[in-house]
Amino acid sequence: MLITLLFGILVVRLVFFTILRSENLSEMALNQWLRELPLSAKRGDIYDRNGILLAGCNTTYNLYCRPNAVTNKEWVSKQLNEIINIDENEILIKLKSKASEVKIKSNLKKEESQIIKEKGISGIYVVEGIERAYPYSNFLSQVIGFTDIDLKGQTGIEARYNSYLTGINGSLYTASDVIGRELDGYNQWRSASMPGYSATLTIDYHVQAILENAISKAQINHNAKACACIMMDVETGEILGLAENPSFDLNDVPRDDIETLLNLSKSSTITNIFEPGSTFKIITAAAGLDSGSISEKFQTFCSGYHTVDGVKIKCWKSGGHGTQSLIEGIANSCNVTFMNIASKTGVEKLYDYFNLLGINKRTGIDLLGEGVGIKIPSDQVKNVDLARIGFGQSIAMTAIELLVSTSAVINSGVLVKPYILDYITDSTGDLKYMNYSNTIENVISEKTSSFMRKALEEVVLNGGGRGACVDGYRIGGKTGTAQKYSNGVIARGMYISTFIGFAPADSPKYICLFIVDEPIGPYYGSIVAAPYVGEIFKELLPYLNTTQSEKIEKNQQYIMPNLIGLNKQEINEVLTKLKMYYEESGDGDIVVGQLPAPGDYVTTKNIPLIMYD
Amino acid sequence: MDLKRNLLITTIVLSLFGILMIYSASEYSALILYNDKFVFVRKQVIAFVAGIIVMFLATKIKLEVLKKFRWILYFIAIALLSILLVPGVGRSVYGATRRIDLGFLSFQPSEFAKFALVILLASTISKTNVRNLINIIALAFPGIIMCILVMLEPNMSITVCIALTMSIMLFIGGIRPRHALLFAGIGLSAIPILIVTEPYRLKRLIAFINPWNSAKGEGYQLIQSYYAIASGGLLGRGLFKGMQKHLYLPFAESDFIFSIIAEELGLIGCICVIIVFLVFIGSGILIAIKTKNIFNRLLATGITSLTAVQTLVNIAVVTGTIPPTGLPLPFVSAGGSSLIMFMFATGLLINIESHNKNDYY
Repeated sequence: MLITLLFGILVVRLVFFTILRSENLSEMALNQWLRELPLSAKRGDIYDRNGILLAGCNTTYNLYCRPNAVTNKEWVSKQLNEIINIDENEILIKLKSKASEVKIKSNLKKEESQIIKEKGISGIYVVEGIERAYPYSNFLSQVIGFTDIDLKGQTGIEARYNSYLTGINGSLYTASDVIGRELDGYNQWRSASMPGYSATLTIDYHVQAILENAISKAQINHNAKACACIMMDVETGEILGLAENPSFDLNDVPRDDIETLLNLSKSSTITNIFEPGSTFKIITAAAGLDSGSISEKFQTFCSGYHTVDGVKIKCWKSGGHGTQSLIEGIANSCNVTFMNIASKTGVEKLYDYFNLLGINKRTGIDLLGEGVGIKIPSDQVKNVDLARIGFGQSIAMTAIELLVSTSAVINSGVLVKPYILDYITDSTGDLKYMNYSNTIENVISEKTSSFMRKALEEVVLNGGGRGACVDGYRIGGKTGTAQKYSNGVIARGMYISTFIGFAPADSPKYICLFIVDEPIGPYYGSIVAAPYVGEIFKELLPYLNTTQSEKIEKNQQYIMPNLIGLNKQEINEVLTKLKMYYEESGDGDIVVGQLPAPGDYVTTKNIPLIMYD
Repeated sequence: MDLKRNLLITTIVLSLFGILMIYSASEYSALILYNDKFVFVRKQVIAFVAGIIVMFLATKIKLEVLKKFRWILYFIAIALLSILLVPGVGRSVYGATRRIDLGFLSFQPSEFAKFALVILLASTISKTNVRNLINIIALAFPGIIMCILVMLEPNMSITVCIALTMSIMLFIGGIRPRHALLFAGIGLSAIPILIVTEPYRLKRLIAFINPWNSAKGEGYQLIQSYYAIASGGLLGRGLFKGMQKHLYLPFAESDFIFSIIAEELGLIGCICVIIVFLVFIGSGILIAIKTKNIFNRLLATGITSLTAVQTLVNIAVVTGTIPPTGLPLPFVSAGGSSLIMFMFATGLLINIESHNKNDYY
């Protein structure tokens, strides 16, 4: 009959949906029913070269409730109160909330979450999350960097190698109603997350710890605005340590003040440029020698100043150094010596060597935001500028540029590309990425390099670098004291004191640049920076298994004489007799103060500061 | 075959099954929206109890009394439908005003009006020569008035049900085939006009043709119904285990309860429900055939057709066979007025069958 026929049509329609299109439509329906919750993937670890964990992940336990699934709210709040120690009424308010899901407490202890899970109270559950954890908190902070709340790398290695460190999140599918409220009594499906790859750095934890200590000490001792120190393997370009102060706790990143955070979190040794001052004399000397513009027998007479095109440019020692051999000029850091070398070499050749030595080029270090130095374009360099460039003024560079170019000079002309990440492995240990040592050889000759090593060792033995002297080791180095500029004008009383040292002096393996920014009080690199490099090498060289040299330098001990009231001439005589290298400050001629005080025990390593009226 | 028993059993089976499915379809939404799982179930149980009483009374009353009061019943229906048009009296849901809310109870006048019209038509057709076109127009006039009022709510589906039921009654009443064709023609040509006058109908029609084009809009409900039916498959997800009732499928406990039946009980469950309806409708048809008294026969025809038409239209809508329109599944869907009126009508059918028995013995 007609009615049966009509119903028959409807049954056919039903068969069509329930049998023929069932699979296709059911799948679409399933997509609609399942709410996807991300399962955070573990972020890859960061290790030092010895396998010491520098950045890892912690599991966090967060307590949630689904109020409409909690039946006996009073009883449940009492139970929870006993475990997590939050006020009963406070819990009760949350349990009575109209929302579908309410967070009761973040960061539960693992034991607490265990107890709660075991109780299995309906509507109460613990959600596991992952947070980044840095075991050493305020350690290597600028290099390691930090992540945002979603574990995305923001600065440092965390940002630079973010794509490797980031894992792939998994998903938890939960049956839920139309607005995403989870439903009880339905299955859950899980797709596992993939952990991120782990990074191993070239950084050595022990080296870094020593550097961190040294900069902290220097900063306190000299009330400095900032301090930094980089240690690099001369042969490979591996950065063994990079410490900077002020720093911050990676586990408690000061995110509220963006500007401060930006300043704290960048590696200023890599991003900022400065006028290097006397440490740059190494480059000038190397360029002069290697280009053949001067010979090893080069001599200069320093009268305390040099006149270039009618402009009188002072040496730092107002009385003058007198006749200086090249080695003496380097050891005494005589500005006149280097003005002459620069003039003799000429802009063209000097700039060629800057190029060869990687000055004012990015080193290519694997950190974000590397800066690049600036110099006066070669066709605009006046003779006055050239003279100044000779002793490290009128040119600016990053600390890493200075380190790398100096490293090339002392290591037989091998220019390295510095790097911080050694390799990356997946969770099974398979290699996924690796940095190789990348070098350009013979940017200067071995002959020049060998002479420079000798001259720079002399700086430490008998010149301004005495502070860096370490018993039983051969150390080379150079001090630097650079003036700071503020709005394009030299800022009075603001200096950057530096020391660049390497060891062993005869066959360098490690190079270390120490920077003290705006020390208060004495500011000479010889006093403010060199002694810390000495301390660093003293602790590090035994650790790094550097063979002791046979030439053991015994430091002589003296009692500091009273120098107050003497004039410049007399000071020179007294201290030269004691084989003491000293620094002077003040424009007058009569000594009004001295450091160390009269009667203190001192060694040849100490560099006294003589203050004139 | 005891047709009375068939009717009684199918009515009670469908009503109780309805209560069970209403619970399954509404327990989640009722808890969320009213903080009470049993809001719909409780109303339906009360209506069921009232329905049993009303059905019992319907088996006992003298059918002559109904015939006598036909115009009174009709005018009450017209009055109630008209009251809905007075702003503020009726309760508006989704832009349509279909219910009168008295606070302690609310009801849908059109549910009552359908049956009032059936009684009126059964009576008037039985007294008139339907082979005359003028007479037919005169007979149809009260029905057309009622259709217009229901359309003004607006409620297209009930209008269609009323019109179809009226046509079937006239046909059984013996109108000439050419007159029937004429009416069918007029009825069909009215459909485009109705569609054009209300923009939402056109949208619904387009959504019906391809619901995926407006999966979040007009096509949403149909797609949700498809999901429910398809994921039920042959055997269903199991009673109470449906997913679509978690607020995905609107009107899951009322107009779209058949989708939930399909989801939880599968194709097998659907066929069982359809078989029960067929037993009810078949019994109604047999009673109509057996009945000699013209008024009684037409009354049985009207009640049976109304039930059949409404069941067909509901399932056709749910399965996307015809454009969507809101109409409860008789006896099963949540809705007190509908349940009570259908149970009352079933009582009348049983009453008619009782008279037939009396004729034989």
